Amino acid sequence: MTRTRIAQYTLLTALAIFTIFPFLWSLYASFVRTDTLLNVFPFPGHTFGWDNYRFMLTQGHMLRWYWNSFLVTASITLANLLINSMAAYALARTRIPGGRIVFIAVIGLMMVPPQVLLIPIYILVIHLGWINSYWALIVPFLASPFGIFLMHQFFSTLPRELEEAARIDGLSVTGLFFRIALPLSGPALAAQAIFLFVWNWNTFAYPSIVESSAHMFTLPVAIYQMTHTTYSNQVAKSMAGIVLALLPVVLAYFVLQRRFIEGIAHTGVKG
Amino acid sequence: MRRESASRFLLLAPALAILAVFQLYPIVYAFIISFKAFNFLDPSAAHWVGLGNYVSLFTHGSFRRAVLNTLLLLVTVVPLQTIIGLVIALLLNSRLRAQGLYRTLFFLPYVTPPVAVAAILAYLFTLNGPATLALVHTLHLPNVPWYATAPYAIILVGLTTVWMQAGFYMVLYLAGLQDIPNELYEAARVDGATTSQATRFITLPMLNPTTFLVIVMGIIATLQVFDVPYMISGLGGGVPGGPANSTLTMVMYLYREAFTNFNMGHASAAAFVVFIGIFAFTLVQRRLFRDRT
Repeated sequence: MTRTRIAQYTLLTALAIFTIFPFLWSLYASFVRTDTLLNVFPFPGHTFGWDNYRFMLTQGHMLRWYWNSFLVTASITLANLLINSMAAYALARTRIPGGRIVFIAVIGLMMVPPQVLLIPIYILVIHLGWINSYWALIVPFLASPFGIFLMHQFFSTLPRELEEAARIDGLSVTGLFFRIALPLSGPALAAQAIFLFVWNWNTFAYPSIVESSAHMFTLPVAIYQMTHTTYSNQVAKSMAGIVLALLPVVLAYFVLQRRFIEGIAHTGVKG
Repeated sequence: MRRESASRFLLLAPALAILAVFQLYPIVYAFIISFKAFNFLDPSAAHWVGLGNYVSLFTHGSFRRAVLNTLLLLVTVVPLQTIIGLVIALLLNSRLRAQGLYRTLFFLPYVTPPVAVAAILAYLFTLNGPATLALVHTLHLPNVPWYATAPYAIILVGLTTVWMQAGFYMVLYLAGLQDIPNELYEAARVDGATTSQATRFITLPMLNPTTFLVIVMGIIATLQVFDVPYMISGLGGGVPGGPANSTLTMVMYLYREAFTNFNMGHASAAAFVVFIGIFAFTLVQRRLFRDRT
């Protein structure tokens, strides 16, 4: 090993420790027993146990929050995969009247930051009577301009010959989409799914304004509630909650790391 | 043929319906109420005020402060995360063992919920927190809860943002590095260039388009910063944006105006100011992306 190599590894390892330390510390803090002590550092007594986790999983709404986050994220992701792909196919592969204008509008919508939509969607959701319901969390996000754009770019690269052959065999447009185009879009769908999953799992501002009762919280809103209100004096309990909330996304990330990194980096740049 | 065009339209219809109702209509609606005095608690009293909301934004001390804080984050966070992302990518680019493992670790903070990450870092920097104590011993900084003490609160917001995002820009740089043709380095070696010369005269200039993209994306993301400062400044019973508006960002301002004070018109005007800023940089980003493909 050359000297530069050693320096390289040392620097990288130091940076990696900086990156990983907060996670390890939250794990450590989550095991500190908090029968009496509050957020006093360093934790006096230093006895460890599963108490905080047992408490979180049995006392609060933790399981409900898992379910909320899972239900919302999964429905949005699956619906988007279908709805965005259908629209993108119609726009990219059929000469639909007005398609060009719709596509330009889709690109225009992509440039709108979500914060601009926060106020009007909130007002709309109130008028629809959707406050504190799954409708508010799911329905407005069933389609995404970014997803349509992504699939549009993908479908545009498919060779025409495939469809022409299938057309001679008598397939309709819907048939072409479901039987020919969709089965070929695995990688594009995977990239989109991961991006949507991470984005929707982590999102905080919007759910925090449309869900005010604890049993409707998604995990990020629940984290806010725990750290700022419920367990604001009990860091160790909050940490157990945070670790539990992080677990699914971190596990999914380590299992699918390459797809995650490439999917998010590529779609993030294009979006 | 009639059936064909009907089924084409059916493929498009669900997306069209959702986007029309939940994106297009809301944007138009927000644009309209940004010209109205519109208090959500008393909608019947809404009336036109022309550019009044936009004008009053800039006379509002707290909005000016929010713009200033956002710009402060912009000029510190963006360069810092760009440099860190570049350095890590350069370190990783030479065929290292465990390259994949390092890459995975560095990208991890980017996929975790910002709210969780902000809470963890805030507790690291609390009174007697491990990070606070480390800085007390090394840099003789005071032992205070950073999230509740100016100017440490905004520094903590910046640090958290950099820590969370650097890994994303590292991945963009790694992609940029792979696009540099190997022949350039071979030619340089033949001409007797050292590694550092090759880095300086080949790698860095060839990465210019990536750097530009990284900076533009960094600016867009920083203009939208909300979760992290909202989380950090509200800890320990603090007012979000505090202490004394020192962590108030533009998006936090619009959130507060809209959902605490219910001044939807005023808040929408703030939203469109943010929008214009982001829109300008998004146009730059789109152009960049088109040039690259």
